[in-house]
Amino acid sequence: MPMSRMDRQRRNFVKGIGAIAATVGVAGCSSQSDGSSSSESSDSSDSGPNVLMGYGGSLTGKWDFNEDSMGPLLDMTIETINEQGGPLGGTLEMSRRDTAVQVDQARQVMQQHINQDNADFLMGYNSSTLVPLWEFIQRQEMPLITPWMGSTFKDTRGGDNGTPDDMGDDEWVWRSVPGDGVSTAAAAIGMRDRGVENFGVLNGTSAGERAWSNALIASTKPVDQLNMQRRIEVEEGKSSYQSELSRLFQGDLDLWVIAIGIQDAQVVLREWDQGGYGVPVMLENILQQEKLLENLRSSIGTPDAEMLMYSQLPSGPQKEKVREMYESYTDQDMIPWNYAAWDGIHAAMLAIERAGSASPEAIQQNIGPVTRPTEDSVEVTSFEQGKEELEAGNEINYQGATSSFNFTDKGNIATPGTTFDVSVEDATFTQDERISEEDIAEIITDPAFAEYLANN
Amino acid sequence: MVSPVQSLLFSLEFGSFIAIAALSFSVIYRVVGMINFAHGEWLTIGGYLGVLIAGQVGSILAIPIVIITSGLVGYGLARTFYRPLRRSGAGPIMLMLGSIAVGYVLRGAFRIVFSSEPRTVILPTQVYRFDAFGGFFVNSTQLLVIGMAVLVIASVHLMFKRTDVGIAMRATGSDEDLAEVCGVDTSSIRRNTWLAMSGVAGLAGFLIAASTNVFPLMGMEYLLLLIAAAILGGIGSAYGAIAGAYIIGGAVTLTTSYLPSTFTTLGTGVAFLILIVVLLIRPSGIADVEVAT
Repeated sequence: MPMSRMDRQRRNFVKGIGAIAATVGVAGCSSQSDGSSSSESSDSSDSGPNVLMGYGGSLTGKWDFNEDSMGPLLDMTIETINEQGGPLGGTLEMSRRDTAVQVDQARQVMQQHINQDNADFLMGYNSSTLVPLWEFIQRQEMPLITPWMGSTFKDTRGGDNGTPDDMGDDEWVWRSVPGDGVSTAAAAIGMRDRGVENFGVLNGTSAGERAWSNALIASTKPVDQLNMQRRIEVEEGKSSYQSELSRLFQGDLDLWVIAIGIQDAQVVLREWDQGGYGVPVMLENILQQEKLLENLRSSIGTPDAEMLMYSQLPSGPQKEKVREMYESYTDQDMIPWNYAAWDGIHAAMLAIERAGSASPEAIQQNIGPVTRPTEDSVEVTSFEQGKEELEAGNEINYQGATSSFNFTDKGNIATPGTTFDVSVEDATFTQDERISEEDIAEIITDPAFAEYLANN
Repeated sequence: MVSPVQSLLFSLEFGSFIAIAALSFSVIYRVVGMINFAHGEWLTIGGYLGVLIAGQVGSILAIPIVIITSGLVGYGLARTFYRPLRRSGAGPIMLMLGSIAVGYVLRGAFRIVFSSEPRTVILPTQVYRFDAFGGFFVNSTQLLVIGMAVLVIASVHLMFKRTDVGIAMRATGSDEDLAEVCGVDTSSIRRNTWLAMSGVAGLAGFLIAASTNVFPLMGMEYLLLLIAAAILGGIGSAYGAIAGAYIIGGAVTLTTSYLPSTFTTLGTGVAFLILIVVLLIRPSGIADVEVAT
């Protein structure tokens, strides 16, 4: 039966819409992830296994700007590993999926990686998704390395509990980035040294921002001089934060601290400057984004009051090498979490080499041994070098870009801290004073620090 | 305590964003007869156009250009997506679902074209400080936002009351068949409504981008608030939407300013609580839609 004109129009319209939606949908995925599953496009090697890394990241959602920097780093690391012979002579591949920083979606992504993609280990995720999913992850019995999770929740959880051969007590999550305690303890020391007495905190309500703010307040507890006068939690995504700022500055503050996503931080900082409060601000370290400063420079020029940042200091022997490689690889900004991802992937690959197997259990059992120093272990600073030493029958101790990268029993690492001078005019974060690991340890091992966190 | 005048100014600014957006949403609903769940993306379009155009001609001159281009783009989208659906016999529910799909597609497109990076319309800002009433300040951006809201509200009022197009819009919104019998070209009225109200939505997006920033999900973040304002005022009523917007703006701001700090994150929740209470007392909203514009 011939189609009527109306039917043809309708059919053409539906086809058109379908084509547009498919194009936009596919392009939307690929533009963020460089292919949601790179395993399909990678060259496979006949000489060894294809090892699949399941990466869950915030490709959309409020932290998606970080993935613009992380994406090229992941690709660069994978290429480097494969160029150096690949795991067990095979190929490292990646399936990169979007968690959108939503707990339900993150759980779904993990299940897809484990059940559909047959990933050998997991990578990515942040505090906002990992804390609520902690018990779920334990049941999966799949090693997960996170370069994002700062939360102090992780300080006492994760890793292999120092018993790599006994998986009965393993907690499966390894954190290749220093915990929030490092940056917040550095901040407390910095505030003390500046003579700050009264400070205020303005933070968002996501798990990550609350956790960082709690760690900051906990870090000030061992320092008698520091007194948190006011803390304001704010709804995210508002068009104005003037009410919150007005309320915060009702107190007589020497300094205030902001912990919120970059889109909202831009608004808050602009309104802080326009409000003329004149009180210096300290930025949460995840705001170490030159884009933030460039946007502020465009909108407010030079702020009336000083801006500060305290953070962990990537200081491993590979740091400069990785930075130079990255800068020649992409135009994106290098962010501290990139070093952590580089190290995390290397640790997993070396674990596979040591085990002679890419099974999740083998990776879990060998991450600790390749990253912890022993009397006879050889320090290595590349996958290739580690592979050679392992083939020669030696034990290795991976030395990273973030730090010397010695995983603790709970699967955490430590670094020194540092102060940054923040220049909106030049849109730069310039590293200033180094704060030693010992000084930081003094704060985060103080009972007052733990007590505050336990009660909040 | 935050000065009451200061809180009032913040409330007016916040309410003004929502008022402009809710007004355009409500008029489209009233005249065209569809709930456009992609209306937030109409705001985002205005924001991005503002960033692009203000970079070329300056922020103030950009305003009329953004209104016109947003109107054209909004109308183009409606013509591309909604008119064929309507012509193929889709009812209000199908149109509403279609608009949800359009919203998804547009958000994906924004991400591809503009990336996820937040962008801002650069607007030179002057701050004015006063010691009266416990001390308060107001800046030129806030004045622009409030001023533009007043201008839009007055213009829409005059259009509805004094122009043939406005009167025809009201007639079409009240009874399309009757309007057609009376000689109103309802098709062209729908086109004019999309053009005008897409322009107004684009202006709201421009002002948001100038006060805060624009990013692919910006419109979606405002969608619930502007729908709440429209419902609170009596959906389909332009004046009701404006009243609803300022009530919501006030509720969010005053909650943040004066309730104990534990409740500072409940601003939007309080706004929706007010919405529920008003609807329980007056199900048709603040304005009675049957007699409203």
